[in-house]
Amino acid sequence: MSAYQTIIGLEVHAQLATRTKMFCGCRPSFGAEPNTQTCPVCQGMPGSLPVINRRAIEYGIMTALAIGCRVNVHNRFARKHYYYPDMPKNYQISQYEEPLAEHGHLLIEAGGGARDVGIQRLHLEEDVGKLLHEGALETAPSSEVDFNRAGVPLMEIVSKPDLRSPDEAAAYLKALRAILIYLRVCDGNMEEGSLRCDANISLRPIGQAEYGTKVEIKNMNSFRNVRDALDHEIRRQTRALETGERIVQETRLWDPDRAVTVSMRSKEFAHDYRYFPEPDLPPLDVQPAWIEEMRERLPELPGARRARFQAEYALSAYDADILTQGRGLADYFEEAARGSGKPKAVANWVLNELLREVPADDDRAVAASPIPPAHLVGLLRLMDDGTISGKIAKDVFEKMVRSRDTAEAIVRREGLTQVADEGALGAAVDAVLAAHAKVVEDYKAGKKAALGFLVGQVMKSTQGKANPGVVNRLLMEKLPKV
Amino acid sequence: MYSKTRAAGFGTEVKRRVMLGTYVLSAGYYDAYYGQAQKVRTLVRRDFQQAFERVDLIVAPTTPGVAFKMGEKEDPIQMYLNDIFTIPVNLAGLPGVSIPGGFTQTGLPIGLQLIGRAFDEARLLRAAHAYQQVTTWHQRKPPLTA
Repeated sequence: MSAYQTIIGLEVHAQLATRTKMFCGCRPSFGAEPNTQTCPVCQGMPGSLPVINRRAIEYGIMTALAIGCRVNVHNRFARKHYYYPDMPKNYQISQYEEPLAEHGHLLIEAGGGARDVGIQRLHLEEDVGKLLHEGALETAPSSEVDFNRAGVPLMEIVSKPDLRSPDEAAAYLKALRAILIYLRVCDGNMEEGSLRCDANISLRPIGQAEYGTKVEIKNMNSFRNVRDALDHEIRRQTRALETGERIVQETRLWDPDRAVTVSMRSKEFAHDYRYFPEPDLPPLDVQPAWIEEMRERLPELPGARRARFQAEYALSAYDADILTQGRGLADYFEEAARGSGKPKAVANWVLNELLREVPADDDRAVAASPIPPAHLVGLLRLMDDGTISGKIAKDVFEKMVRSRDTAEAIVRREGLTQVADEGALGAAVDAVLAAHAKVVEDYKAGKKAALGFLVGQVMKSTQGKANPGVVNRLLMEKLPKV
Repeated sequence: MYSKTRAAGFGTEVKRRVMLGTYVLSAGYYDAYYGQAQKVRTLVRRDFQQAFERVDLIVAPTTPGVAFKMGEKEDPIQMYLNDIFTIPVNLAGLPGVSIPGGFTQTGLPIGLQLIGRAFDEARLLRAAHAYQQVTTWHQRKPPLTA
């Protein structure tokens, strides 16, 4: 048991999935040729003027409402100054004194219980460009700037220092990401940088009221990184405190290859951002009617939907959790569950088979699934009415994935209809009994397991099409007569 | 390289203003300078608003003095004072227009400034036009002799 308590706060940056950038009409397309998605505004040309993206504000309001924030009527944008080559204007348009929303909370589940984590603020700003170094940064003969990303809308969500472990930090990030994906305001892709996370972390002796000196960690671009970086930082700070070393307030970078955090800059070199109200943008008033309009547009959120899935479809907490990780997948499940009237079976097929083909939280992949919900319903119906067995159904499923055909079409085309006809099966059973006289003797001598072998042989000789129930019954009838 | 490229091409006055701007926005000085200046600006704006409750237009000289010789004034404060009649109009967010309003005995042109209410450019331009219908200052040229 450690003598220290861990205090963590997260700053999450989410790129908003708007059609255009925050202050101009350029497209925020990922992977385009460098500097093709730019204009005088996002290149910071003198004389160009920004215009606020209405959709970005709406996405911000929706997110704020989903995490229980109070949306501020009076909004101001501010210039945040710092000097870095990937930022064209040498200032970033952000929000400072009057952010879009404040005072929210997010329910997380970690360590076997649910807990509310406070949200300090949510504000909007613009992203910066990207530097491309030829080879390693230290030895690159030149570096190039790509401004395609400059001006892409970013939403920053800052938690209160309420998180107590790397697990809780990961749970918070997971819950927040699920909400963003549900709202369709951000695609949540951490590897591509659409969702980024910085952490403030400090330790304090258990029982002490004041916080210890905090350290900011950057560059954690996966859940794994967040957990590993925080774990490492707890070890580093614990060691420092135990040896009487002073913790320096600084920014550290997580290096996933070496699995260490490295000091980037200390407080003495901390930026003085010299914020002041952006004179090129008028104050923005968010009228209550607009907020209400956004509230009505909120979809059912992951937490509520998970609870409803458990209650309405009698699913386990685990199944409901996975099925609600993406809005598209949850919609898929509900459509198939309602279409078939067999939610439990649908859940099993989705969890065990469909999710091998599509990622749970990728709405686009789910929508483009090779097996649409109606096709899955069709497959379940064929199993239900005895046309095919469960074993054949799995094969049919594979074929559906490859061909995108309906189960009915595949079963018809390939003659996979289950054989329940007693005459046809009777002949197959007789043949098996004749071919395996030794096994029949074992069975008669009391080795009941031999029955399973005989059923298997009949299934094999009918290419799995035999109705197992009928085969069983026929064997039981015929065995005593052999 | 940063300091060279950041300094190249900027004149003394521009650098002075960059320094001033950086200073007044710095941590710890914001409230004392920038915050205070914003309050003063509000007072300037209110002052104009009160005046416009009684009048439609304000007439003033454009500058406190006429053109001086190149290099005659070096002191930055003296230079700033030269703009004393036009800057308040900018601070208050009001439209203003400067038109030829006469000549000194030595033949130097004098600017006449009209200041209007916010978004009342139409009245302002009508007044300026009316003035030029009854005066000829704008048709005369000063003699080009020292």
